[in-house]
Amino acid sequence: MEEAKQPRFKLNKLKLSPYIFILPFFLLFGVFMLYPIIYSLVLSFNSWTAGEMTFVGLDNYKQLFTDSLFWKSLKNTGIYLIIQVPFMLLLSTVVAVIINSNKVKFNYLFRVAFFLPALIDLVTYSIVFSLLFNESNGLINHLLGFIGIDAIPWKTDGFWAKIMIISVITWRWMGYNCVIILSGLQNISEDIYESADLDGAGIVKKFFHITLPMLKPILLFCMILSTIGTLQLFAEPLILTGGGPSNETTSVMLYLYEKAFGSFNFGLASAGAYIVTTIIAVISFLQIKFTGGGEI
Amino acid sequence: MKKSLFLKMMAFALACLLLVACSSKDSSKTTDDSESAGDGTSGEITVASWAAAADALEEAAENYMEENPDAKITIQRVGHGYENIIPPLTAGMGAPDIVHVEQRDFQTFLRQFDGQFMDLTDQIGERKDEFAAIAWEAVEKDDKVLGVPWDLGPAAVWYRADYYEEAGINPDDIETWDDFIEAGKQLQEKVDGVKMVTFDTSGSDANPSTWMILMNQLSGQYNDEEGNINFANEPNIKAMEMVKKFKDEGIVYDSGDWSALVRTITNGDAASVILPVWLAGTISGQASDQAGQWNVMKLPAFEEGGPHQANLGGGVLAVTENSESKDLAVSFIEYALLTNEGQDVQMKYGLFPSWQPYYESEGFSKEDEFFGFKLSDFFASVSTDIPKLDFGPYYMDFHSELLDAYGNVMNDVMDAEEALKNAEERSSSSTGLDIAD
Amino acid sequence: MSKGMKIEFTKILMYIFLGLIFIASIYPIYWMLSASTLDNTNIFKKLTPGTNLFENFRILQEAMPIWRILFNSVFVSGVVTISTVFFGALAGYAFAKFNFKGREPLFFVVLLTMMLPIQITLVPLFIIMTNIGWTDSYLALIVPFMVTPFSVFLMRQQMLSFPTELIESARIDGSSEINTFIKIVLPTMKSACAAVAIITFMQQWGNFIYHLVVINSSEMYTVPLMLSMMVQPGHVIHYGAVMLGAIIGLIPMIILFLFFQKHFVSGALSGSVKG
Repeated sequence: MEEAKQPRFKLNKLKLSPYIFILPFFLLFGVFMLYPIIYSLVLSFNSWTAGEMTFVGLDNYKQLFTDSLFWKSLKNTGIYLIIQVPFMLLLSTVVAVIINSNKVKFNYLFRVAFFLPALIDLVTYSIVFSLLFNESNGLINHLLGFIGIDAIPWKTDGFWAKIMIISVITWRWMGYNCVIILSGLQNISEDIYESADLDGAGIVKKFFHITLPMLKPILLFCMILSTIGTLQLFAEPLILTGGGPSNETTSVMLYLYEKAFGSFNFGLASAGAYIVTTIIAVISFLQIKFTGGGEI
Repeated sequence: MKKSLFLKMMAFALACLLLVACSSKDSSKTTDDSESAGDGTSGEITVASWAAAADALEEAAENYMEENPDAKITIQRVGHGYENIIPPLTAGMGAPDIVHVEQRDFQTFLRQFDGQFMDLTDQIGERKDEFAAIAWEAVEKDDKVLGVPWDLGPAAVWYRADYYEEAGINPDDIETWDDFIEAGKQLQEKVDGVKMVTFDTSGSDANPSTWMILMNQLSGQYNDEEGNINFANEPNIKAMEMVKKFKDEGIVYDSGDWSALVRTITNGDAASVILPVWLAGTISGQASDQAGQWNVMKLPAFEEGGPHQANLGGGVLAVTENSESKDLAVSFIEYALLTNEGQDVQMKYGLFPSWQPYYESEGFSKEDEFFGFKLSDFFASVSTDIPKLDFGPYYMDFHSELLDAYGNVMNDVMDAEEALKNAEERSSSSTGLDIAD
Repeated sequence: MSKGMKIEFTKILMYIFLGLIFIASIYPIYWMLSASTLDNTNIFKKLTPGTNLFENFRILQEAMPIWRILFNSVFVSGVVTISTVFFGALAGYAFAKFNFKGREPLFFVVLLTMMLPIQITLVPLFIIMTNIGWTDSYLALIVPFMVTPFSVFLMRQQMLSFPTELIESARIDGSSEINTFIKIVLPTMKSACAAVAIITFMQQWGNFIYHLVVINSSEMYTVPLMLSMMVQPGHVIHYGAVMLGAIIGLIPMIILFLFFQKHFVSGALSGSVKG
């Protein structure tokens, strides 16, 4: 800011402008995000009831690290992350590539239909899916029965409950990522494909040698968004399984939510949120490094 | 051109915002000038509640305001998970004047939010004997009365009389839970595609209701007298094993969460439901084509002649310390919960009163049109001797552990004793309480 | 000949694949539609539409000021979206195209907060709102979300690839900085703006727990809050009315998506997205 006081008008303007541009952002950001964030950082070292705070040092963090359920919830979240994000992005990419190819008719219709799930609100989505996945008379087990598969214990078996949650998240966000990836695909010039055609490259080869590398920046973007989203996963297990059976589906955010609103332990919940944030930051950083995302 | 469009949009947005800012300022702070006028029937209060209970309060508030035109009572509908009232109580500001808390959670609230609830000893204390003892238990702490008991949830077996008849089952012959299981097998043989009973058998619902009813029936507890954690006691284990037996004997239709339970009822997939009096409203409201087909019987006992009463649910109304119109708040609660007129409204919404003088009133024993008999007489008869259950000041920490224990048993992960012991240890490490020997 | 058949075959496979995903994507929406026409007795039994639509609408209208709530959702999400896009673009532009003191640490703060779960700010935010007396008002719903770190991040990414020479030549022509931004930079950022707009709008539309905490009266409800209040357990739930409410709540989202989706793609076609 000091440089802004320099007398030369032109330079002055150039120096001051960026600060003016970021001012509205940082003003609102400071009051309504940064302040609450710092507040909860302070909270994470305190025990807080009825308006009174007591400093407890690292107790909240200690308690978390010694709670086996916290570790279990982290592990569950890790499983969601490792399976769901790559699976969904692969599916989104394949679908986007198919829609983008000139051969497909009605591609506008498909695009809209695939995006629709992301628009539906949580309450509705939860009612519909808890009914569809009902073990005794849900539509999904009915359909499986048709093709001779026994009813799947969606809610009583930890493995299947995770599969259910993964499918539901994929249902919701596949089309959303698909639209983002499509916008990247449309940037890849037809010429590259045409010259590959001349070289006699097949569909699969073109996909791996042209499409994927060209899509890397946008896929990285989707990946980071999905990673953050998955680490913050909360509503789906809450609504579909309540974290059950035996906490097999509890995500880390659900665990923290229950600590805050089930046992009023906002200090503990804040501490947990900071741990999660650190994990997100590390993972995002690694993703960027290892994919050579460069400028992101 | 683009620029002007964008700027116009921005200007519009900001203008809207300013407009909103101004208008909201006008409407928000009017409470100051309406400070209570002495008799406690004027002023402005907000009452936080949810679901049917909020409907009941809404109607009670309308009636109250008609008689006391200086009072303004607003019912704030909140989430069942206390998401709205926990932040203000934690922060120590901005809480509604009256809050609705579940009976079982209220002692936890009193511990966590010490000093945030108004002492009602002078107003309500001497009327202790008018309330059912199990409901009163929840509102006292250190000889102070900090809330008013609202409703009770006397439990029973709701059953489809038509299915029972078709299967040749006489409900009077079902003396014990073992009889119930046998009757279930008979019913499932005779009535195609219908299970004897329905509840959540995986721990995916918010409450392990069936177990909670059965353990209360056997006088099970969560704490010993010194306040140590005590889940793995004999009644609790016995109740858990019985619920597991229902499942293992194949008489349960797994309903999962609430909406699935409702679906099971409307579809007629199960012949019985083990839940309290408040299920009446759900049956009549969601399965209106099943009028006259439902009946209710007392809970079967574990042994012949054993206890058959239990409670599940029930609420408390409490006045918060930050209320600016405490007199009005107390006056409204007295009207809603301590008069026949107020309780008539509660009853209409399926809230079975814990204030006993009402049992003598005319409104109490009305015949229910949908069911074709007197619900109230029946439930009064099964709430005479409900075992006391002290939830203690840590129940909200226990609840999710107990729910997990239930899931562990139902899903064959652990046996009943092991699961409850495991829950004891987990609760002990999160609350710092000792486990009873 | 055989190659032609192979192409035909691939094509059929593609359509089957897309068709399956299509059905999976829209079936739940079909269920919502048909459920909104059924009464409580039939809602879980029938998979085809019934005749109870008007009755459900009556129930919905009696229970909730549905049009007001719809307006609230549109208004709140709309204002938040416009402001997020504009301020995000403005700050993103500064971060991408200016060298200024404190740029790196400030951007790092933005990046870091982007990763924080928003739930963490819930209680402190509630305290702020209570202290300044904004609870139960539009201000509480709008102001805290008028800027997001995410929008700054995404905008910066997009602006990095904007040719700096264009900005410099505008400067030489004497265009003011804000003019350069609005007239030269912003118009090329349509697709990025559309992306931020869609994402922000969706987030705001679904913002639920925070709304639950700061809103008290049904006149101030937003759509998800209304629906959650209608499905409290232990209550007679009119699922048909709930589903009708959900569909009414879905309409503005669909319209908006269809409208912005064109920009999303046309912007991408014009080559301004470089990831």
